[in-house]
Amino acid sequence: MPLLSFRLLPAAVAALSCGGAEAPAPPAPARSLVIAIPSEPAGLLGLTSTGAIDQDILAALQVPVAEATVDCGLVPSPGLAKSWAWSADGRTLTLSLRDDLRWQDGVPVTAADVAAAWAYAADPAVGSPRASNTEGLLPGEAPRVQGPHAVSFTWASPGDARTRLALATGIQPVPAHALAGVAGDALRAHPLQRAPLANGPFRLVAWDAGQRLVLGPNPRWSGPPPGLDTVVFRVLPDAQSRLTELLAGTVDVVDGLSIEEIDRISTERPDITLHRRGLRNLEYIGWNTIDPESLAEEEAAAAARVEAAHRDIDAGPGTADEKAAARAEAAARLGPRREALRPHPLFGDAAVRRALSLAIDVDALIGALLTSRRTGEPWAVRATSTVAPALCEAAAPITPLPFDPAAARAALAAAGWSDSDGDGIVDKGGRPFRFRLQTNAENPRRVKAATMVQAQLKAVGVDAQLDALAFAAFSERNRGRRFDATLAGWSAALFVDPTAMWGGALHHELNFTSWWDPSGRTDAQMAEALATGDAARANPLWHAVQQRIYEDQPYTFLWWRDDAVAVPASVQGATVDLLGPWRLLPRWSRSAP
Amino acid sequence: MSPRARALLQVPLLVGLSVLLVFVLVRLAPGDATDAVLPADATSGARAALRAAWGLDAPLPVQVGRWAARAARGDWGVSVRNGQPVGALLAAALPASVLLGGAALAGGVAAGLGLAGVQAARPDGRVDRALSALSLGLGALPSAWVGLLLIAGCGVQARLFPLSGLTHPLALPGRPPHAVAADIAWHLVLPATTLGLGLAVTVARFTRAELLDQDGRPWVEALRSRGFSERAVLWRHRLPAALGPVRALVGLALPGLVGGAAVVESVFAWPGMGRLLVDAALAQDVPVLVGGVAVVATAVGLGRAAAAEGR
Repeated sequence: MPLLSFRLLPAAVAALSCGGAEAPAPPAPARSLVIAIPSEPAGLLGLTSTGAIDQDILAALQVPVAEATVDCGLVPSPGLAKSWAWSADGRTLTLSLRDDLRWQDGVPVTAADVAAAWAYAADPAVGSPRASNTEGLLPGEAPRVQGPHAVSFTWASPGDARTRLALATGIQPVPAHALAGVAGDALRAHPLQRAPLANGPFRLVAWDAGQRLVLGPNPRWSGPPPGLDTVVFRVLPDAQSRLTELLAGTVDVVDGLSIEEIDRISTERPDITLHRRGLRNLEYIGWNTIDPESLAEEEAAAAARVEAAHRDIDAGPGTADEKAAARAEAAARLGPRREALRPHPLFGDAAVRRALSLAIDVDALIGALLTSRRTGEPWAVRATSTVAPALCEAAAPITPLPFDPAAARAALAAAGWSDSDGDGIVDKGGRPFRFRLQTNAENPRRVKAATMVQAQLKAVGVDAQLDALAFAAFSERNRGRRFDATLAGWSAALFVDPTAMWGGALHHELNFTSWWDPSGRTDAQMAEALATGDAARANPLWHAVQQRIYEDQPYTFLWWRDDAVAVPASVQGATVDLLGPWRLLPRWSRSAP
Repeated sequence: MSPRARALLQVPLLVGLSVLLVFVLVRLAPGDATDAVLPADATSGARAALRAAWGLDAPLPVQVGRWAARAARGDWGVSVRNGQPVGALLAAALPASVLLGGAALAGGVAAGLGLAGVQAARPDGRVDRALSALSLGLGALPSAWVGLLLIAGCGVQARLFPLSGLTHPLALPGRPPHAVAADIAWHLVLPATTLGLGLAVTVARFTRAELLDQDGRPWVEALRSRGFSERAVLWRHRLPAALGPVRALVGLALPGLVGGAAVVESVFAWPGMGRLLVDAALAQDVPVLVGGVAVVATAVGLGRAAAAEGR
């Protein structure tokens, strides 16, 4: 029943009108913690949720298939899977599951629960964000139940064992007994989304829509008891309200803080500890290397080619299955061709991109936007690649380009860009160096950064015109590669596979700038590094790839940003990491007041 | 046909047009609901599959027709973001908005009438001029600002009222209804004050003008000549007679109080319709957006009807 219903309205109004009596604050449960979250989870069946909040809350309710530690990569340790083994040919992974775990309703957690989760993940009607985990598995092997507490996964071809273990343990089991007969398209609306069955240290006690989720210890949990009796996730959509409540002491924990908020907290509440999550969030300026108009023309031409081929296939002989296969093959073969694309008139030239990077003072941006005014402590470091620093040896030691406006002007002049008409903007063949720099309006730091970059580029005669877009429009333009320059960011993967971001083929959808190495060497190095599975052999290849990309500057790499989590010093064992601010919540504890 | 009856008959048309407009605007906006559900690096194939599963790949008239057919059966669909039935989401959010809007309405009207009475007692006196200036200033303040000021002053500094939310965050389930009601009432004070302030200022301005307009009219002079005190004439006779424009104002303010309190609801973490609609708009959650807009459009239509002349 919703907390507030029409039946309670008269009573509430009456209580208010007669003075409301004294503040009806209930006694605070011992060892409680109130965590502010900006929005409530979409649901708590992990299969259908993408939000970080959903995943963080789920981590307290469910034992992970494998515990992850961030130590120069995702190092797995036993969780629900107490051990794992690979077949001799490196294609089959078998997980042995714990036999002592039970769902909140008393039913044991078994291999059937893992298999049910994978079946849902592979079902397009579910729309699971983890559907890609199931790609590459042999049909019917996703996964195979080998006994009540053993499952195996078999891939069609050998591959990187670390990545595959991460994929195989990346889908949480679902209570198959409670979902028997539930079709994929009904999963998002299933009651378990709002009343999940826990198998971990906490269970969900209450969920007041739009207000809060209350977690308490799970009596079925057989492991060490959590150090907190009550954890409340309060939904506070407004950032200012989250900060105010934290400073007033009515909320204990807040994450995702801006540098101004960090300074205010450390000034006004010295009893609050600011924990660093580590460097995972990259921000950059992407320069589109191809002419967006030529891409649109080629996409239209490709659509016409495919349509014509499909007409021929439909009119020709063959069974329905054969025609479907032929249509798919034609769509892949006749899609947009890179050779039909024109370089971007400004950013198609690597020398120009390097010149722009020389003109941007990244250290000044970090100083202005990501450094504490109070302590001078930076909350970001300069970035030189898309490989997260947390991946240690795989991240190439690249010396960043200096801030050198004189060198930038010289490089632009060498590329033919000079101010021939004295209007302060360099030009070439009558075309002024003018372009649109887009970012998402919801992120004030990015908007400020774009404004500072605009001023810095102006100093070398480049006119950047800002577009602060709603996120949906921003994201769609990035994906569609319909932009000149974009100030954007990534939450980096914690394993090295930059293929989707830097692979030369046009079907690599995250390569927003369409950069490629025409020699094919970078693609070959990435493929070789992925296939080897041996870090000592792979890392030099990864370094070469990163070095090559940095030389070409499809991105002006800005920074890796650290995220702050504010936690009262009275909370013991409060650790946060790159994988989530409250992922390790069961280990947090607090003495009774 | 009376203006009120005509306004009532126009309600279904208003709802239909509003719903249609939502479908068109969402279709014109970049992106779609898959952006809120799938990760940023999801492939176009995964997006296409989900669009097909949700029927988002169908032509707009087909989508509208499907929605209308379901809505006619009382099925408002489910949220594409969280799978919850739209009816249940609206049923959870509407009481909170009605409570907040109702309290703001009652408080705003009462405060506005009181202010107007005080001002009209001595027109152009020092009190009248001071209150006019004050109400002009308060009326110009954005509600988010007023909310933050009230939180800082009455919540953080004076600790008189809770800063946000509908109930105490550590309240355990299963409390008796009177304790829940008192808790909610306590949490209602600051958001209702924030939301009602603008209405109070408007009501005061209109009512003051109406009261001043009455001055010197024969019926007012007749009351005075019968020996009624000036206070009695003002508060017992003139003020009730000045309520006509207030009724119209309240009618027009009703939809804003039901569905337009998004800013106040966000600042005070109040789980009402405004927040529900903003979240749905950001996620392009068409079923929730359409359902919510239909409710708000109904409120607009009924508000217009209430404000219209009965005959």
